[in-house]
Amino acid sequence: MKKYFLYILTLLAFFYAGCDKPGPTELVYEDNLEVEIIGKDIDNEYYANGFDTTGVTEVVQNYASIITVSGIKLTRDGRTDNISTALTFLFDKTKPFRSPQGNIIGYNTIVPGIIKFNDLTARLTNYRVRFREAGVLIDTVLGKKYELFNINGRAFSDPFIFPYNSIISFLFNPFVGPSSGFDIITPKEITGNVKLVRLPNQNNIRAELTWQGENVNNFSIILGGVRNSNQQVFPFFRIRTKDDGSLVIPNSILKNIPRDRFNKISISFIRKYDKLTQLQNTELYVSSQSIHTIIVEIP
Amino acid sequence: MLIAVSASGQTSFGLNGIYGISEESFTSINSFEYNISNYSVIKDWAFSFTYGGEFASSVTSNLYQITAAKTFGSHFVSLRYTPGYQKEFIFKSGEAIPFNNTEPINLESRFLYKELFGAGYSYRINSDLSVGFNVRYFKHDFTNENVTAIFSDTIYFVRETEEDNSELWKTDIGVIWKPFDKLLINLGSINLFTLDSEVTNENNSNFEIKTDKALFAGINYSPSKFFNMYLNLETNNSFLGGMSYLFDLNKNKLGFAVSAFHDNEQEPYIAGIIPAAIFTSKYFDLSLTYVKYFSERNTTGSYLDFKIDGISNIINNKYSYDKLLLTTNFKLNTLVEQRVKFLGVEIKHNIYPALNDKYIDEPVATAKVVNLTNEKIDVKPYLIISGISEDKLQSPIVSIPPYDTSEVNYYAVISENYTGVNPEITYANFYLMTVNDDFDDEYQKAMLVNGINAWDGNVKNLRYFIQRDMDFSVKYSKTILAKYKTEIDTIANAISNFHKAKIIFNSFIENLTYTSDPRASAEYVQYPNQTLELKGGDCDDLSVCYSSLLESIGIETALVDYKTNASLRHVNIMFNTKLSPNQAYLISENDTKYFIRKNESGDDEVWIPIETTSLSDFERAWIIASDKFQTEAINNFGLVKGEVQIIEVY
Repeated sequence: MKKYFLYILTLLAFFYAGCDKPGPTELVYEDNLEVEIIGKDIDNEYYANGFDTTGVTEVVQNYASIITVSGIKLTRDGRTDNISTALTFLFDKTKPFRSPQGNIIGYNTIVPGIIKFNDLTARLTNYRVRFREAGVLIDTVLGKKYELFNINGRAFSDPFIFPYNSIISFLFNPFVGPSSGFDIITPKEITGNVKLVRLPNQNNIRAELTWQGENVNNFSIILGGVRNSNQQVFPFFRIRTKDDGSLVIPNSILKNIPRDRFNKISISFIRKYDKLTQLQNTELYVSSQSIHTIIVEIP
Repeated sequence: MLIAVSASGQTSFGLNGIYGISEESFTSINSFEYNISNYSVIKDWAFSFTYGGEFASSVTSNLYQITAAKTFGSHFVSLRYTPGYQKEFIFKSGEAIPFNNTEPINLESRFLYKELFGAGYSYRINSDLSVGFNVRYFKHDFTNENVTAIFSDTIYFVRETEEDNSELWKTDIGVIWKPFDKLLINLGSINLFTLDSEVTNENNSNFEIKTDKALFAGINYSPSKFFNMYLNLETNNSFLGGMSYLFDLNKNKLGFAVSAFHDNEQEPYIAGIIPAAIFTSKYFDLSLTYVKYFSERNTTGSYLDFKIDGISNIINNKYSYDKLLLTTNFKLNTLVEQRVKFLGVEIKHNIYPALNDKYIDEPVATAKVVNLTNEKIDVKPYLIISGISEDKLQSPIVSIPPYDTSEVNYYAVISENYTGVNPEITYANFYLMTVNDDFDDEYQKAMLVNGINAWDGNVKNLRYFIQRDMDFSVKYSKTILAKYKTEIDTIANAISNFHKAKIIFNSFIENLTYTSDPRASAEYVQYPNQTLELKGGDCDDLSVCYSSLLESIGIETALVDYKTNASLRHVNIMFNTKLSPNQAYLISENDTKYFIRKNESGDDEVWIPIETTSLSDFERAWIIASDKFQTEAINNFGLVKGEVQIIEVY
């Protein structure tokens, strides 16, 4: 009997010595989530980074000229406002505006004619920029922009209602020369939902986001904080992910948000169509966005 | 609810290469996967291990399992250590963090699934029904790299590694039922009781091994001792079926098995095939098993698919690779496997210690013995009689055909040191031994052992009394003859025997008187020394004594048994004078006083009868005996009728 045990143990020792670790299987994460930091300096002010309370507008100074139409829903404090905007910035790239320290903040705009969206003439309003440099908050105006704005269909606003999943006609009547125009396709309306979950084992949270996915290519989510001081939204990250209807923002992204400065977070779901086109021999970036911004308190 | 048609994958997948539970086939002690009730037919100890290689991007070898098992009567316990029951997934998260024009950071996570050990217990209620359960321990190790956002004056990311784990205990119960000899039904639960610890990161809980409840039902049909078919079904929509065929190879078996399986979580419908070469013998089993999956097994996969489907089985899932496995089961038997059994024992004789030599030639008992095995076996019978024999005496070996019954004779040797005078009841212990180190069966029966002077009444057996005390007789006879040395030296050699017998007779009767046996159930015979010491005896005592004295000096004697009167039997002796018939006149001219008998060479020799109860003198004893012999043996045809019998002492 003893010799059999000895044989068995010898065999086992022999085989055990020859063991490898089982071959792993490598799985590819097709989600291809991208996280981009938008606001590097959290003391920065809006406008310079292209963000406002209603959600994200474009970082306008990156383009020669820009047309952006947006259907925006802003949900906070249990209430949702429906906002429609149509904006046009026509920049004079030869006239950059620099900060006292020489950084380019933007470009001055020009007004070469009349612009209409769905036959509604856009108003000219000041293109204001606010930025902070060397601890000093600076407000300035870089010219005029074309604008239509409506909130909740109110009569005293512009009678512009953003048509989701449709088209908006754009017409430019220059002071000199023939008119030109084109149609802007609009995306489907997006309605998101944000659930902030406090994790049981930690004093931390994660955000469970859901929306009706449409698998639109240009889909992103902006995560921002709402300042305690002025209730302004400050964007932290742009998350590019599939328009598939759900995303969990992990605790590692949220846990260090300074609660003493931001008591709420802002989540903007953005579904966008965009393209580059020509207008009067000028390169024009055209974007059409459906945005739902939800502001929730950090539990 | 226990019964659930769930979407989880196959769980009843083992590594043996044969998935039926049959007493004729490969033992399944190492697989809780399809042997949920921990059924076993091993007699004592068993050890099993599986070593193999997995064909991933490179071949990796591993010791998959080590099992130790033990049977305690109707209870069976097994312990299994499974160092090779592991599956690791590496997630290239693709999470890219472009920041300050740096290259995107690719994060990596590793999920390692391990089954570490398990234990099983079963209880055999009867030969057709066995119930049992198993408990298995799993561990999940999650290592996630992630980025943490740091909010200071600026926002930036740091890469962190988070380690998390959870444990899982699973318990399932099963039953084995054999409604017919050739049919075995194997029923069990899948994930009946589960107990798991919580992960720290709740997100990881989505990736733990799935434990959907289900039922398992297996059927095993063996139309012959060579051929075995099996089908194992799970209510989670998975199944495995196959067959095995084992040829006889001397006393071993060699063959093959082939199985195919459908796994609810794998493509195509028949997800794979498992051919196996099987060798099984009394002491060990071997299987060389190849697990071949029909779908392509890449070393990469889809994270999203994994996130949705997960895995239900560590060693068989859609990410498993083809495997080549060697499984060895050692069956070590420290217990006696009963191969023969007593049906009964018949005592042939009560024991008369004086008849010692008789029991070497004639069995004292005969046993009926059955061979319990399917092979011819040699049985060694042993006997020990309490108080009589000092050690177990082996009787001749008996061969018994398979499942046959045979008679086995037991012989005895009575210790020469036995001195019991009174009869007593003692116990005879009968044993049967085959190939084992211990006895296969034993049987005890009461036996009457008479006193040392008891005699069974058979005159033939008086010789044992004559032979027993020969040393004393030699000494006694030579002492007498020495006194008559001068007389003996002067007589003719031819009548030497006659004169020596005469001298001894006349000397030994000097102080003897005839006395009857003491009242006893058995006849009582004195040994020569007792007769001389007690100075008397009856016919058999005196005949024994005188015969012994003559035999001790080389004079051939015979007992004459007179049975003409049934109520009064008588014994005297005759001795060989070694005279030829032509020389008979040297002792007597009366031819009725002697008798001619042939020796072994066929030569005639002169024998004369002596009536040992006639204690006057030799001549008188000779005359009485010869008259009696002439009358009863010759004239009345006693020898012919068998009423008078001459019995050689040797």
